[in-house]
Amino acid sequence: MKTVLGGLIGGLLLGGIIHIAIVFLVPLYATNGAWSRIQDFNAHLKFHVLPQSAPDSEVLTLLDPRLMHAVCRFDLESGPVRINVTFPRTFWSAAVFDRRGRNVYNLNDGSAGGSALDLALITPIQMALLRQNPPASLETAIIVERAMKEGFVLLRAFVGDDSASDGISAALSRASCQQRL
Amino acid sequence: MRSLLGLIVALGVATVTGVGTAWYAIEQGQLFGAVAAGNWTAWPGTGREDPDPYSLAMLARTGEVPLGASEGLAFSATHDDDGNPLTSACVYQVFGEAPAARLWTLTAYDERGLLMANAARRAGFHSREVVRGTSGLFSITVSAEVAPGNWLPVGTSGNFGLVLRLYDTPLTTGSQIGDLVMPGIGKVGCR
Repeated sequence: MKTVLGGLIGGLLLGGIIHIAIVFLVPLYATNGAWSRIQDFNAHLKFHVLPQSAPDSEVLTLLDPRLMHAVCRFDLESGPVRINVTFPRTFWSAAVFDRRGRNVYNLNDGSAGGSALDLALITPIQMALLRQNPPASLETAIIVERAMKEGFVLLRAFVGDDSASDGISAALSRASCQQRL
Repeated sequence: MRSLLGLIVALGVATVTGVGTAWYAIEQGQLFGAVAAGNWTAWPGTGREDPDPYSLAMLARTGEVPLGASEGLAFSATHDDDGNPLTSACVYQVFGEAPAARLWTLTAYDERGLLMANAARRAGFHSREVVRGTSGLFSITVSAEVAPGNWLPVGTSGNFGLVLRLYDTPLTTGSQIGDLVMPGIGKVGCR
């Protein structure tokens, strides 16, 4: 009886360790995350406009079918990245994700103050080097300073009705995502 | 011999509890991070810069790109007001008012989290096209068959879930979600 009880208690403790190990290992080994799916798009340092989600054609999980999305993949290790988009009049938002799927920075049209998005993604080290002689072009940008390497930017724009979709799709395909400041 | 029995018990218990609770927490998402308001559940932690380990594991499994705090918040519901699972065999009314947001959309997903094919080719409803009553409240019919007025079509078989996405909402901090007034989901009838 005592051994069974000891086994139960020991088992529960070991179970707790297994639980914690699984939770921490899943993000490292799962191959179904957004980052691995985005590898299939032609979106390295340029925006790829995703087809609007519809039954039987969803390229990313749980994207709102009433919004149009565009994605651009980058690696800050090779230098800062500048995002420039001009949206039509509609609700839009932009989010910066790291490769583990963390939403590290986001804003919407209201907080950006209108239809233009101008983001500079930069690491703290690159920023420290720039401080001595900051380029004038940075003055207009929202500077997102994060110690990250690979990641992606996701733009979301609300499509009120079908007549708006062409304009929004055109605006997203004109969006730029370049390794520069 | 007796210590071997103890070891076997320990390993069995460890595997079942460890894997079982991890599966429940990650795949079902029910153990941590879920905030409920009526029938609706949101995971505000998934869209933060420093999500908890459970949210991070959930994201890695689903491939979802969660809404950040300044983008919005998504609520999902899989049961009606009586606590029964939402099924295509029944007709439902989603009624009332959505919480404060500049924009919201309502979408139906099947049990695998995929959009449902439907005859109307309408994948969701949004707050600017919904027709409201004189009181300002709305009522959306959710059914597989054509319905007059605000109609959100679903597929013809299986259970489904509803996702209400609030864009540009002050609620994203998650603190006051429990007291929210969310739309009700009433069952009208079944086939």
